[in-house]
Amino acid sequence: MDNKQVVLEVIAEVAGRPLSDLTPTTELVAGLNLDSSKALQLLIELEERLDIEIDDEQVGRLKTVGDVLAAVDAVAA
Amino acid sequence: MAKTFYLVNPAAETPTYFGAEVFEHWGLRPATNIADLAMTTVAALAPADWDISMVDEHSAPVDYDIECDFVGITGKVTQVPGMIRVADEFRRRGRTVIFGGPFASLSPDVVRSHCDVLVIGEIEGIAETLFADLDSGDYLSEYVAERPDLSNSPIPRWDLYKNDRALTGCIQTSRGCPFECEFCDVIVYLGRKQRHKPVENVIAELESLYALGYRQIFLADDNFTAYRKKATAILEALRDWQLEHADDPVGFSTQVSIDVAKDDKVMALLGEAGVTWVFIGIETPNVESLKETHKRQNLGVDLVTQVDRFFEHGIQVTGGMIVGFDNDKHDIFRIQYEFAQRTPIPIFSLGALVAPAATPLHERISAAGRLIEDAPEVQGSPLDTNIVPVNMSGAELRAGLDWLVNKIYSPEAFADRVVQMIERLGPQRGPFRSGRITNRTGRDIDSDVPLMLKKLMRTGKAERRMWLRIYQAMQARPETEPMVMAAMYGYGQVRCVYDAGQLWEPVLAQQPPPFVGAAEGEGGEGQAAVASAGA
Ligand code: SF4
Repeated sequence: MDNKQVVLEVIAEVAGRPLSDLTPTTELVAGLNLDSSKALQLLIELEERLDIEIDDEQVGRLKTVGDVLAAVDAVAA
Repeated sequence: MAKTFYLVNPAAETPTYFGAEVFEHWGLRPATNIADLAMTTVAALAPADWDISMVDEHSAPVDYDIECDFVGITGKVTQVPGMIRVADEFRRRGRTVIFGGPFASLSPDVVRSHCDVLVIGEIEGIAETLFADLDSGDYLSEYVAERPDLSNSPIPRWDLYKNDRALTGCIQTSRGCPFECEFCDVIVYLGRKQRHKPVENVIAELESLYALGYRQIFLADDNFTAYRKKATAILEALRDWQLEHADDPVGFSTQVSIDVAKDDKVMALLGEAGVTWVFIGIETPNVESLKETHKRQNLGVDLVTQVDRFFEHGIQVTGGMIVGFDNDKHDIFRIQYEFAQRTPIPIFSLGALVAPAATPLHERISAAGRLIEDAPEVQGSPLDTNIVPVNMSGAELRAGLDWLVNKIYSPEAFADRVVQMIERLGPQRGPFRSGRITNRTGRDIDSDVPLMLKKLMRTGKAERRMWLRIYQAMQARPETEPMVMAAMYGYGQVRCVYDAGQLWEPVLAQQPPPFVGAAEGEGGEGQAAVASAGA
């Protein structure tokens, strides 16, 4: 499974939504209702499953599903 | 000519339970937990034409090159080394330094030689004279303030404060507490007759913090519910204010004594007003120790049941826990641990009994020849004390505390308490409804909390398991999320306190309680048990 697929699955799982709900412009807070605990769970799951560490600076800028994909790409590259 | 005035709130020398050093600890930008009310209040009392700036050293460095006529430094006992360090450096550079605040008022002899002007007591009581003298250049080296009436308190100058790195805003609605706990320096400094701000002032201060983006506000009263009538009036006003801000409400926190749990009306109002967190000085389940320390409000009730009442009303409790009373014996460490685990309280501010200067306890211990001179009061580790214990040696007290902190905050024990909290929290009656995301202001510091916790979770498998257990329990009750995250933040800060003090020794949590089987008053066997546990 490629990274993109893993990221989308983790977001869908943590948000409790079907994969089909996710587009790159879907907002994490307004669109998926990701509160602080879900944001934390999302970060932990992504880092564990992909064996990466997302940069602090990047985390503050994660507003959409597309931002998460880009952040993972940046560290996994 | 108008004067320039630089106010400094020096950093605590080591992290404290209610601080926010955890952000810097994990490589994030420094921050403070509760915004500093002392500097902002002093700034509001200074002449309108003075040019005032301020720094909270918890979130930004002190500017020693600043051009100013006066440097004002405040601080509590945990900040004393910082107060002296900052003052000495400014005086070396020829600046005029003014000291005030709780520590300077309670221990003037310790700080007098480090400042040019010493203000003893609450500054409102002397502000007019003090600032007029400073303005004229003809000032005294010491001012002693009368206890002021709070009805004319100005709105603190939050516009001058670094609000973007403070988690919680701060309003004080009253000062003083009618109780008489033997170790308490608050009542020495602020008195036992509680003085109150008018409700309109409280609401005006709330508005000013709200406009700056704060959605968590600490009501910095020594005992918010001591006078039920006043507390009721303020809570009703807060409840009504929340109704007008229902789309983006504020979570309040405060300090109360446990006796309020018996008052159904006030308890319900606390929830309705949006109070989501309270600190209670529980101290100990040892009745003899409670009697010894005159904590009468904790006597004659089942503490666990009373604590539960808060959770039933949707309010999280943080408990003060103290070990080292004269009536504490070797089994106190086990007793405190078992007590903690019977409650849903996630965070205890756990430490050794200390005798702060000017308190009745200090006087009694000193008279008994059991005061350790020159020992830190509470500046260092929370496990340090300036008292020679009665029923055990100082080394045993310390060894027992080392075990207790590691046991109570082992990831397993912490998860047990938080899961209990999730299960026991009653429905929110106030502005916070099920599943809602509050705090829409999107301040950086708020998004730093999950980031900090992510780093903590990377420290070990036990921490990761702890979080997973808590997260899974929370899925059944998603409305408890803000409470859980507040507890998690508290856990992060506790671990920072213990890391900084080199107290975190997870292996101790795997050991049985220390001194099991030790004959009271001997403790030799117990000492051996702890010594081997630490090896
Ligand atoms: S209840 Fe709290 S503030 Fe009041 S005297 Fe006791 S320790 Fe001090």
